[in-house]
Amino acid sequence: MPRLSVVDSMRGGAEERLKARLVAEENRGLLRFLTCGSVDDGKSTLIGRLLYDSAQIYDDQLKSAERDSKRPGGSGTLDLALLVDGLQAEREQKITSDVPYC
Amino acid sequence: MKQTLSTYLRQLEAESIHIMREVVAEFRHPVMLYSIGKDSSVMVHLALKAFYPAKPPFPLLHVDTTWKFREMIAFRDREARRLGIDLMVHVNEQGVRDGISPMTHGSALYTDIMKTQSLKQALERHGFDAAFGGARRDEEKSRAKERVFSFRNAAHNWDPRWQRPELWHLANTQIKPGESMRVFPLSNWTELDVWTYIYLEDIPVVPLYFAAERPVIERGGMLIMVDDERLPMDAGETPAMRRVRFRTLGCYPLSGAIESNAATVPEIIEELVAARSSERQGRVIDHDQAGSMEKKKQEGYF
Repeated sequence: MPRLSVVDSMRGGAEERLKARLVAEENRGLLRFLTCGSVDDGKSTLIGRLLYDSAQIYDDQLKSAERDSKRPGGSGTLDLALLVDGLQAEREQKITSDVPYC
Repeated sequence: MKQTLSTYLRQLEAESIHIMREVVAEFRHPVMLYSIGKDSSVMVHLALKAFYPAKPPFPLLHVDTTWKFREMIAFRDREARRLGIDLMVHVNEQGVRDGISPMTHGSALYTDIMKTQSLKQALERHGFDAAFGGARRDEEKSRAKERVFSFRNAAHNWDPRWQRPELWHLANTQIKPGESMRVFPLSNWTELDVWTYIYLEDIPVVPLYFAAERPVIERGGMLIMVDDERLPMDAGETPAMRRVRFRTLGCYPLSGAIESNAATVPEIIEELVAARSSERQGRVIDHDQAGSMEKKKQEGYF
């Protein structure tokens, strides 16, 4: 899975390349992303999949999700929702519980 | 000449400054936890901006485990002098008397006594009701789910099921006596944002982040720097000089180095963009039990 831009820092000129990237990103703002849906519609899975497809997931994070997918009660195949549902209680119940109690 | 901050960095900066001012307005006795790392450097820089030209109206607190890299301690004292900010250092003296070390007691028990318990002692001794920390959501999966204003009960415990709603920039800062708030102004920053900001704002960081020849041993798949004579050598282990740097800094026996040639901030950023593993992969304490950080947080760790 290639990351956004792979460069060799041995070549020198890192500062010039960084400056060029900063100019290109000058007007970039923050993205806030929200999913709505019923139970088991795949809200977390969609977010996990978007993170995966946009190469935002590091190898060790992916490996850890793969390992956890194979645990008893897991889906057996790679469960991308695990990238979003990090808390123990969320994993046990297979839900995203980051909706606070008021 | 360096460029000005991009739109998203200005948004992140404004958000962090707003959070700091909110804490000063709402709490009686705030403190800023200072861990000496790059995130702390950025957090302190933001605190100076937030209250300029006055000094930040709270002290810095470093919870020292006595096992930090020597270069970190030297940097800490230099920075406190340079910035003219009040710096407090707390050590769990009972832990020192008991000879608690990461090697003989294991990383989990050591972290509990020298970091979690020590932090609670310091917060209670001074009656701090809000403590800033430099943690970011992208660091670790339980940190990702923690609020900017993270409520802690009188025992300093965190419970993910009792988190308060945070809509837009509104935070519920009400607490009862004895309870406290941990506050994370850098929550929405990423590792790359932090380094880009360090570059653009010329923020000093500990030299250990930059590649240099350092004495290291390979242990448990990690490169551990031999920072002083306290690290016991196993049979057949001899320190070798290798060109390494640190992506994250903690206690030296628990922080893995990475082999690298990145000796400047732009080179670090370039290495980071190409990186395939996460920042905290080199932290033993994140991996010493399942749900490691979450458990530590519930017990009162940052």
